[in-house]
Amino acid sequence: MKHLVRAGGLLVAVLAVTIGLIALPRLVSTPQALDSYGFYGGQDNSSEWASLPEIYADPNTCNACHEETHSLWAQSKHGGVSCENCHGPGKSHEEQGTSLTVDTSRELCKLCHDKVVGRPKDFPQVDLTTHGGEALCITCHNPHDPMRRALTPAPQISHTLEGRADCLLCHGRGGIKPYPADHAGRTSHTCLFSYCHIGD
Amino acid sequence: MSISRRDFIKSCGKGLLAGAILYGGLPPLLRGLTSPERVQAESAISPGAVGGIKLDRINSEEASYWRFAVDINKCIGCGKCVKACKLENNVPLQPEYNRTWVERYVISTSDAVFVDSPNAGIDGFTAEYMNVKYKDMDVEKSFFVPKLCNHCDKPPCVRVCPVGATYKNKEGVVLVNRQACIGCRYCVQACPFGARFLDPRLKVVDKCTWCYHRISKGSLPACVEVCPVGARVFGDTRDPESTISKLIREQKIGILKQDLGCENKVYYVGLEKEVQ
Repeated sequence: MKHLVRAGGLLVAVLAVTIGLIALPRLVSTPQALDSYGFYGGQDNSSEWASLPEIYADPNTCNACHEETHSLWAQSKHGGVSCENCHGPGKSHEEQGTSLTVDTSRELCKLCHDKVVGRPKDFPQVDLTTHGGEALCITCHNPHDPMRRALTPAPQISHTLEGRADCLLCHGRGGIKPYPADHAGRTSHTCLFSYCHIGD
Repeated sequence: MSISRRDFIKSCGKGLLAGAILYGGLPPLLRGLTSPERVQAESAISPGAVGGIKLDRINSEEASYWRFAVDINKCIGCGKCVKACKLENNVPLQPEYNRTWVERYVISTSDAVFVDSPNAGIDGFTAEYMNVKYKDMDVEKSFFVPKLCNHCDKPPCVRVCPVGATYKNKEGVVLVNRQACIGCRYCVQACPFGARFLDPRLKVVDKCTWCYHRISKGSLPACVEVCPVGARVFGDTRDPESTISKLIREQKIGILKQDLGCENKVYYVGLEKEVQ
């Protein structure tokens, strides 16, 4: 019996010594710096990183000069879409007045609105292989207010639309008041839903 | 050769003592030798620290107040963030060098998982060749996951740097000191999220800085600024009314590879179990 107690006591003593001598100093001497500055204690050059120039601006600063467009944009469906997504990075424009080049291509609109696997289902998407042909999206849709009116205002509809679902009946080729030649290929759907001609 | 019990226990004790001293005592000794002024600077940050030595848990929480959140439910995969990041931070334009990128996860009805990130997502996901694979697939679920440096509170990359060239600053932002980096790529290997790369021009490691030059002046990171759907949110958690504080309060949040214990500071809303 005695030898068992001795062996047990020895085991406990060795464990205590192990924990005391290895774990404790390790715990005490693991300073926060290991996770902050690493084993070899690096030099903090945060101020150097902080001094780099900004390239992108804050869309709210655009308001200072472009108030009209800004207010139209701000309340539209595109209100959360930063100006710089289409107009390019704007810091140098804001500070030195360098000119910006706006991207009006279909490719740009596609990035968000083409129907693609992966997008949230409730996000507005169209199949661009069948929608709009080759025309620039901005021909019909005003990027600053995509749901309400066209970029260049078209004649408004002066008559009621009730019972007149097919615009082309009167405004098609050979109708009473045919559409202009450059409108060839458009359907009744585009007249109204492209926000060019607005009825009451 | 015979050895008495007494001698055996004695030498065991000596061995343990020597091991303990080496294991516990060497790092602070080395650190003290390399940069004494930094230890002083460190203790100035947290008044509770004694002699420049303190435990991890004491002040990391209050020091790291920036948080970044990504809402997977909102991301549309337009890639504007990737482009803005490259222009803002002068990141090489080749698709293999990225501080941030967008991955697409497609899960079929037969539970097969497909992940792609063509050109890191900078050109969006609309090109024909990017979608051929999914044309006739029965897709059960699909979503985009934007990724970037998680600015871990316990960053493995910082621990492994052999020259102290990378660090987590007092605001909790993980940065690289380009003058000190020797380009050994050890941190690139250590990062569990693939957030680091070697800049081919300077031959030093580069990574997301959360646009430190912008946030330190009160602007948002460029990727957050341009996101058209508000899928990226950034802010100061000390302000209970900030967008980020509200999001953290109101949403269910997950982090990538939580089991690694890195304490990531990039939070994900709508994280799916397939996302790694």
